[in-house]
Amino acid sequence: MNITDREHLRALFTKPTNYINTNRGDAYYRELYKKMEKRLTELRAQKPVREAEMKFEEYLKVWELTRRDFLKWVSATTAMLMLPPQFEPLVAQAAEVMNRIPIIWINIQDCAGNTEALLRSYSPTVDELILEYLSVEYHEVIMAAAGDQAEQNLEKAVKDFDGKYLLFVEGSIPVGMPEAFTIGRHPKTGVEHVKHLAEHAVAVIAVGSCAAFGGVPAAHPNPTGAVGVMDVVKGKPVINIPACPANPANITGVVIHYILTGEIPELDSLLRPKFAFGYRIHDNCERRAHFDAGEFVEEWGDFGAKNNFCLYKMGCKGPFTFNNCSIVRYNEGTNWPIGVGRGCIGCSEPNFWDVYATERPIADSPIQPPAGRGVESTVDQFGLGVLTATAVGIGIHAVASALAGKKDKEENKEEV
Amino acid sequence: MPKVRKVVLNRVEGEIQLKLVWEKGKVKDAFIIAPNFRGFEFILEGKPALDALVINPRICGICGHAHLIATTKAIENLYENAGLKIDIPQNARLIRDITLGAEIIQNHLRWFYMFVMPDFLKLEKSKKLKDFEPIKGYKWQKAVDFSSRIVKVIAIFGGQWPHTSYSVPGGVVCDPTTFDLTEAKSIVDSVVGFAQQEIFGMDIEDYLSVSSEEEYLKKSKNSDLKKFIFMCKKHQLDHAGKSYHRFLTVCDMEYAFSKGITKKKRRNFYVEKVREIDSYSYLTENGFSFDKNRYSWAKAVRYDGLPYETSPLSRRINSREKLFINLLKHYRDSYMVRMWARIDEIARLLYAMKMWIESIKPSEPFYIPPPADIKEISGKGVGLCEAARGSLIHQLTAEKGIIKKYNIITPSTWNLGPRCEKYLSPAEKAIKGADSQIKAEMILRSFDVCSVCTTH
Repeated sequence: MNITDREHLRALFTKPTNYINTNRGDAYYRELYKKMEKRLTELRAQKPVREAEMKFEEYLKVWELTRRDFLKWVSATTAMLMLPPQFEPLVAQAAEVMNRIPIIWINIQDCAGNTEALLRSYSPTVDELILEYLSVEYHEVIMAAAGDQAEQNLEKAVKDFDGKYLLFVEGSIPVGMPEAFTIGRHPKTGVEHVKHLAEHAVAVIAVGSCAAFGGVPAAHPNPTGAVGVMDVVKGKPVINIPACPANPANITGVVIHYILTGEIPELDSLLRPKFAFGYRIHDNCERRAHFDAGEFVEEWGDFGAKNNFCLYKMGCKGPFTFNNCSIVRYNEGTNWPIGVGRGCIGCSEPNFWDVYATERPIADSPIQPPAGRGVESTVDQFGLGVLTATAVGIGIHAVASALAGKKDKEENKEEV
Repeated sequence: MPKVRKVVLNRVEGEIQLKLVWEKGKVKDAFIIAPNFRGFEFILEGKPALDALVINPRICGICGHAHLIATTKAIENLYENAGLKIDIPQNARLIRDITLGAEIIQNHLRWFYMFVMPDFLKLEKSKKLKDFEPIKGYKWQKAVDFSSRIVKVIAIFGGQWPHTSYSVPGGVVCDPTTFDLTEAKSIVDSVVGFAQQEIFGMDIEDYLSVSSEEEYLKKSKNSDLKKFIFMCKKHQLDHAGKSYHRFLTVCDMEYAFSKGITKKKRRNFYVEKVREIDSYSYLTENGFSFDKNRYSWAKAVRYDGLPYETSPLSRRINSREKLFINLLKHYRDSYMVRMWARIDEIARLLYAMKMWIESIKPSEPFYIPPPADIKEISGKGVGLCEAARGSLIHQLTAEKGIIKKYNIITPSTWNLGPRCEKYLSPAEKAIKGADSQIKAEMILRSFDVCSVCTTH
């Protein structure tokens, strides 16, 4: 391991460009506000995807939700998108014109975990708003149609909404062994399926770590040659929403952003939306104070565990993992892994099954609690440990970043 | 000439295809095809054993928690087989049961309201069923709501759902406070309320004492279970979908069910008698084979050479519950009885969960460190667990804490696997004789189809 790799590691974990700029000045927001207003007016002038839809207010009633519940959700979503509070009315309006955007959701080598997470999210967000109000034209787990009828519906949706629908992909794609995934009565492989649907989509959203980076199926030795969507789909914007499962709030966030702007959100080098992946778990962790104070859990069930000390020494990957779960949490904000003392497993980072998984050397590293200085200052100290464990991962991370950088530029031309 | 037709069953986890061979308007033979594969067993090889705790829950987005428990038990068993006694605190056992119970309940709620009842809408367009319409129906929405609510219990103890990893060899990592326990209890209570009012039409404890169909129909007010029973009778599903009448359950759960196998008489379960057969699977002992006789990624599983059904119905039968012994006499293992057992389990587990939550003592430990580092352990371990769909078995061989071989046998492998030379799988057998395609699909669905688990 030479010095350049170590420098690369430092760059990776401390790169300022990974962060989102949360205050871009009044002029910027004024401009953005105008742009969004214009977009919403255009959408309002369009017809809903399906005729005879109920009004949004009626949906709220059906779900026994009050306007107040809805406004709470609006505030949370506005904050999550890192927009200032004056954007709340726009976010509310965006939710109301959601049914102008058709959606197709497909599952390839998946476990349905992301669908499950989505079905169990905040009220009144996704169950109600996406599944109810947003026009999900095809989703094999929740739709009513099955078999041939479902296949026909899918083809019809592709034709009707050619170039307009958002394609959600859940699960990795086995390019190495196409026989590992086939779908339909006249079997199509996963690769064909994704390529075909992506060709007619406006953008492709890879939901979950499998769709984003190959996930568990792509872990060594990757028996089926699984890869993420960005390795299969070319010529269309791809947005990665990794994590296992992807946080439903981030899925809605991307959709709302698209409705508000007609564009995909600002992405990082791994094509993740910066509003959700602009911070590390560690930056907003509820146990961060214990890290800074040098108070660590040394063994499950010990004094530190009982007092919610930092889980870093138990293998927590929070300092290396970009995601907003420390803010958004799971299951209607009920809890998250660090809340029960398990530590972060880094599930939204590429290749983490091989390099991060559980109690890996990082945890044993002789770290000096750097009160007030943050983890960056200790990168050099535990760097060697990390390098031995993550040599493979870093290589791939680097390649992915380089590739993604190129994509970034191309997309900027198209989208912004 | 028999006619062959292939149908794709969506609305399951992943996808399952059915190849039906028709003769004289009835299904003469059925092939269940699981077309998707990821290769978890290969991925686990060569990885540290504790990594399995993080990787295995990802086998399934629905039963991930059951996979976690099976993995934990397999590693604990590895310690025991190496001659090291491992202490698991009572609190940890209770937490594992509570969260497993919650996962099973959410699954049954969803399966009944989101998958099974909407099937009846295809058999008849009646106004009475309007509430069960997917997405728009009132009952559909309520079921989503309450199934989301019960998984919060898992989130309280496990951090999130799906895909939790809070259970480790030696206990659980969480340290719940009385506040957490109260919160969990109030969630369970609210689901009990839903179950009493909508599903059973009577008090849960009264329902649990019911011993025959007549008694239930007489005592229950208007309820969804009652509607289901009437619909089954109307469409002759009360006697359709019979399988082998052999039942298997691999572990006990206090207040809920006990293990055993029933083939006419009840016997003990021995894991050594379980065998996997790959003669019709793409995945073979020597690698992959796509020759034309093979039709599924799943393997066939046999106990003592025979196919067994594993499901909530098996759990009812192996714990000798009177209601189901009686139902079996009238209807045998039909579509209606199999589904009823699934719904019945909602009541049984809710009741048990209340007991378990009350038995937790927050002042006592939730974790006791295993007697040695996993890196010193070599040998074999087996983890047995009952998941929503039936029996789950994890078998692992490790050398100095590194996984040498990992084998997973899921409930769906038992029920929906392919045939062997001698026998069809239980679901294939049950579908034989169905008189319409929709009924064939419904019978398959009564096994609670999960394709991702089937092939893993």
